[in-house]
Amino acid sequence: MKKESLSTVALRVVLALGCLGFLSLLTLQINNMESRMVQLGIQNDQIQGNLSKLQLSLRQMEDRIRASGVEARDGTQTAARGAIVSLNPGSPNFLDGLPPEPAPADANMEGHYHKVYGFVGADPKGMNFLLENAADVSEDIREYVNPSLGLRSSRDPSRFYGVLADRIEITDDFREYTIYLKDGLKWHKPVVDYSNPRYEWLKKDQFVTADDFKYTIDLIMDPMVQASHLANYYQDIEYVKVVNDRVFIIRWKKKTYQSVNFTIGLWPTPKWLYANDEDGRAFPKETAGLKFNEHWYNNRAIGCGPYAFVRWEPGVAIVLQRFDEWIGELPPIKNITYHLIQDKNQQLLRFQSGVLDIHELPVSQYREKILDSLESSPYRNGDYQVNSVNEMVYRYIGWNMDHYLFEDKRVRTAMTHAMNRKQIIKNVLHDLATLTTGNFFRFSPAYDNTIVAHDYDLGKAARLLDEAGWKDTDGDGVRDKMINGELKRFEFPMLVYGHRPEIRSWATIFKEDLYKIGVVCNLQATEWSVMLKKMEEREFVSFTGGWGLDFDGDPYQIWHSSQADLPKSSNRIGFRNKEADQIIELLRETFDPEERIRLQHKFHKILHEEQPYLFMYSEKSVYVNQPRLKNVNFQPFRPHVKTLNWYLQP
Amino acid sequence: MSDVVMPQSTVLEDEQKISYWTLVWQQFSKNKLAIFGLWCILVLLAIAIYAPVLASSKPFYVRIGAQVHYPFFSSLFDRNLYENGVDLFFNLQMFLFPILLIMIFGRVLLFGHDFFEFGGRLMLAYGIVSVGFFFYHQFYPHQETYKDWVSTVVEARKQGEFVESYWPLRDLSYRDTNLEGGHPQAPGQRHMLGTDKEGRDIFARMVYGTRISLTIGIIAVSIYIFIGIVLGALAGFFGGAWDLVISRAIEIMLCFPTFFLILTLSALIENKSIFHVMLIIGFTRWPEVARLVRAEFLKLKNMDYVQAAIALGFSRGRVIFYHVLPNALGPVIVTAIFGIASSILIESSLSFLGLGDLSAPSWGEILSQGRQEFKLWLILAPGMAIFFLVSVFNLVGEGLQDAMDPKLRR
Repeated sequence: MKKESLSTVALRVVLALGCLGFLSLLTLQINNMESRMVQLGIQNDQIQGNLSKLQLSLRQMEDRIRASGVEARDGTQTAARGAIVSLNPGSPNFLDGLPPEPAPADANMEGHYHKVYGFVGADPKGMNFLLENAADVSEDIREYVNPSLGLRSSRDPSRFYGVLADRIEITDDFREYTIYLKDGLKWHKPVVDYSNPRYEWLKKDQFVTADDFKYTIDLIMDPMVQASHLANYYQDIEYVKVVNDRVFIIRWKKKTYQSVNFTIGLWPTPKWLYANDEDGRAFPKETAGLKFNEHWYNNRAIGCGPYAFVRWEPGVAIVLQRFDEWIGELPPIKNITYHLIQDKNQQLLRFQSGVLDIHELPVSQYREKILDSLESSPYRNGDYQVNSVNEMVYRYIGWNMDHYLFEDKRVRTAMTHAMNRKQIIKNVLHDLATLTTGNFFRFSPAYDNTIVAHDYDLGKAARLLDEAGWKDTDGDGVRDKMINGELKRFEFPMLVYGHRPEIRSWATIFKEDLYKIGVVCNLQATEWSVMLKKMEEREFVSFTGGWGLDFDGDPYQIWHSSQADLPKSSNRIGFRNKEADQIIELLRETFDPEERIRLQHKFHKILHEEQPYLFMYSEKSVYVNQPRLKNVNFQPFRPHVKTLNWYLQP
Repeated sequence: MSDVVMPQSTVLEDEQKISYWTLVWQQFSKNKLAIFGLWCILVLLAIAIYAPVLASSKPFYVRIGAQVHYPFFSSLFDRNLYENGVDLFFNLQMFLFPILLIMIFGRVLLFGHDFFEFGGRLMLAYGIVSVGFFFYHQFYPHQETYKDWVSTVVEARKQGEFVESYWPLRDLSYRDTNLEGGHPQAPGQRHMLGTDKEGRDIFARMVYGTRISLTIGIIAVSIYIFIGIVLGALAGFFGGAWDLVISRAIEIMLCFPTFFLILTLSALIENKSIFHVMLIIGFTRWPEVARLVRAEFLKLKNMDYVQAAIALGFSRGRVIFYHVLPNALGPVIVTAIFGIASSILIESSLSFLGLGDLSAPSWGEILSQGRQEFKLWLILAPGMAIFFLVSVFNLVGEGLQDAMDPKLRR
């Protein structure tokens, strides 16, 4: 190679330095530009906030003028829609629970609240509340946009308060519900381009009527509508009778405890929108159900609740805005933006940069930011508020009880002894969980605290396997047993929900512990959709699962033997137990709280005895929020985060 | 006639008989960086092969009282402990590889033979023995009952028995989970490179991960090189309809973004093992090679010596595999070496995305945990290792490319 002269070398160095300088200048400029843009965005928000404040005060003024009687044109209408007389004089209002505390009177009525959408921040499939099965849609949007007749009171979860309904009367046999709607419930305006004459028919104001509820039930019952997840719950309805615009009756075929939940949990569906095509023509009756599945409005949401849907930019955000014509308590937060960010680290960065108002810390971030951080970190010195909430969820491993490996309860108990739950909770989950031994919510009275969890003891597990006949007879280090003349090895696959790192973690630990007692467990990290399909078709030996509980925790869906042989039922593991069945059926008909608790404890004992699941733990979530978010409180049941009385300090 | 290579049987007129590969080797050995790369690969190979000597929870020799055990050796082919076929293959190499080296260097150094003349047959025999044993073991596995030697030895010491034991460098296996004391732990005395969330030793996992990475690289590449050569040769040599169909297939395959195709395929396989990952990579990356081989064949088939061979009435197979293919191999081998580097990267990316084999101690998997856990040692160790391995393969690939280019010959 030719030697380069000094001047060329010098030239190169200068050029390289120049490039470097230019690049750093460029980076600096871009940074400047970015921060400028952020400032502009904030200013824009402020201007918008001021504007809407102005609008609000204008409207309040208008209302005051109206109330003072200057304008009485609406008088006739109001009289017709006045107070309603009870159809069953003397029967009490079932909606006697206390609504949540309202926000303080001086709360800022503006404010733009930012949160990640749902549990993982992934896009929903659609926004039609009847078609979407995902908990995300129902928890983050449905309750805001289109609430149900009533809700559980967070002050006394055994009672309900009215949201859309004023009053509900229930007959003594818990079969007939007479529902009285609140007055003046108005549907939101559909989000369409009104400059297009095609949407002229949507411009009219629409009010919620009893028919809209009947329409919901009709759709759920329509076999053409893809709402089978709801049809399960509502199939026991005998009839729905509309008395007038604001009163209707729902009658159930039999007395079940669940009917309370599902009747009060009913929400309206606007027939004037979903029964028509985009030009306002009604669908023919025969195909209305199919058309509903692919309705032109399914990628937008509509309702009559405190927040109206504004827009959904796939992969970016879902935006809601307060509906100021909402008849109930107006929530102080004016705008809600749900960000669609799936990466937990990115979520954290957005939270730290102040974009998100609240963030749920996964275990690793909890350790990093709270356990291992310095006293002076914003997570510990009070700059961010930290709250933890017990989730109404339990995690477990399900065994296929129809499989020869797990039909013996000694084998299942041995598995429980081989799972080091206490250390896993301590070390893998950093105490963000509580060990659980049964199906009921860990912190509800239904959960029997006297039951002692099986401890981690590999020796005991090995003895139990020996007793059940699983011994290593051929000396290959793996237990085996003669079954129908064939030597079967104790080797089984386990479907592991691959998305959650902590589940992968404890599954790995479990596998290594099983190896020590001569059991081979092959982990199969599986996508949720594939896993669900395999579980529904019973093509599994074991799987890791999680179950979200409602407040009652009705065991029927998972544990009743009648469900064990149904296709696609939730009793995937094939649990059949006569005594348990009796208790489940009794529970459905028992309304006395103490008797219910006694039955629930009994049921819990049977599960502990039988070990159909390896119950792992009930999770705790840690939420951090910006200090500007005020009046932060969490509901003791799902959805835990409900912001209707929160507000943002300006 | 500049870059056309004479068939091996042709005797060059002026100098002594010198094979093409010897020539390439001479060129290659002038490139210091490439030679450094080659040494690094050898060291990595040695680490991969002797991983159990570096980290294993089985002692070489234990004497408790009057009883003597050799758990390390008896467990080398234990299917319960080494779940991955990859590990069994490498454990076999602990014995076979030195024999191979002795045979090669013995003949080269003592007898002055040219490696490129006898090398082919030797490597073939070596491959057959290794793979044969591997498959034998798949069907007739050796299995042992689990025994925790670490605590056995500690217990025996506590009870005052006479204990003598010799251990591998670290007495930790890549599978040993540990929940005591909070994990992941930073690097320290017991754990040289720290631990992961399950309390497994990162050093042990890194060492065994070398095996996974190298196997992935080599096997995946072998698969696609094989497919590529066969299809490319068919298309190039026969032309016509063969060419039409195969070229279109190549074009279609090239249209897919490979990594996304791999992602999709790996999502379809339910019970994934490390071999599936190799197969997936192998079956998606052949078009590049096929195109290259096809072009070489198109060029070579009109050469005089090929025409002569055809005129002599040799069978087509013989013409393709004996006369044309050896001369078309050059560029393929260069692609292969670069391919190894990129396959290792692909595997790491798949594991990083959580789509790899759960039980294999892959570097990508450690990296992915590092990202979730924000722990520097979980990111640095595998990150540097991947970087190092990929660069080293690229260095060798570049060296080979230069060595084969007649224009750069010095």
